[in-house]
Amino acid sequence: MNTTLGRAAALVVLALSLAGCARYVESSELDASGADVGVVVTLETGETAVGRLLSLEGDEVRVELTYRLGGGTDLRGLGDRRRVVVDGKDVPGEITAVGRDGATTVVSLRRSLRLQEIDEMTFHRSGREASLGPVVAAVLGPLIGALLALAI
Amino acid sequence: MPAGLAAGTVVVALALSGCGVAPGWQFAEVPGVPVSVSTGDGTRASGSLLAYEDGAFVFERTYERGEDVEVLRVDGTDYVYVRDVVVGTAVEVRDFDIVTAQRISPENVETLDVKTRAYAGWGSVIAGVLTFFVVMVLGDE
Repeated sequence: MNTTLGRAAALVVLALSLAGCARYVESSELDASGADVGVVVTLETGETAVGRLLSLEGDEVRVELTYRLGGGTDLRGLGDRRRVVVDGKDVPGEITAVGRDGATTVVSLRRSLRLQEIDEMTFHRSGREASLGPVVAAVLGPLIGALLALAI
Repeated sequence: MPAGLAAGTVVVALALSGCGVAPGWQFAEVPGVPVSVSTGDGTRASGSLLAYEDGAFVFERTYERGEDVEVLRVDGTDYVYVRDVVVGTAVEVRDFDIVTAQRISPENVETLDVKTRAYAGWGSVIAGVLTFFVVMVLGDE
């Protein structure tokens, strides 16, 4: 009887540990919930940028785009007046971080876009989730099952 | 010893798992985010959100093969019909289901929920339960 109860409890733990990991987040609250969705955006103006999707609600898309300085992309002004300039035109938005990736200066800019301004946008999973998912699915389930069976 | 071997396998698997991410880009290169979409006609479906293009979201989902589902080729394009209504184009026709690309206009989207931390699914649970019983049976013998 105790063994049966133990096995049942172990199965419940196993199911919860695996199925309980995933959760659904409203697209309007991606940033607040810490969900990672990458985007590659091409605007009607021809500008292309990569970044993170912060929210998607109605026809409003909020993104945090990454601009690598160099070529036609520049950072001008000082303090609160700093702005990203691409091909001589100011890019609207709020600068959230300026850092370096090797020898390149990288600027993160939060901006709000209308779907009508977007020519094309692709959505990408977090790299960690995308690469870990198949491994976890293939290894972790059987591994936990086997360890639980050995532990009882 | 088996526990040590299992732990070693996990460490190697985790170390290798980072290979799928391109340097400098912390997201998967291939588009596709697991989502659940409900539309104005009251239907809700789970699938993968690929893109927004030509004024519509491109959403990939599967339809189980059955009497109600058929694929018809028109001008070189495979269209998927469910109960005689075209629902999208076929991306891949498999033995048991059909991967279908659907276009949904933003006005028609009621809710769009993104699935995160989707490391494991029911396949992992089933594999875990099967392994559990196999090990138990082998242990009893």
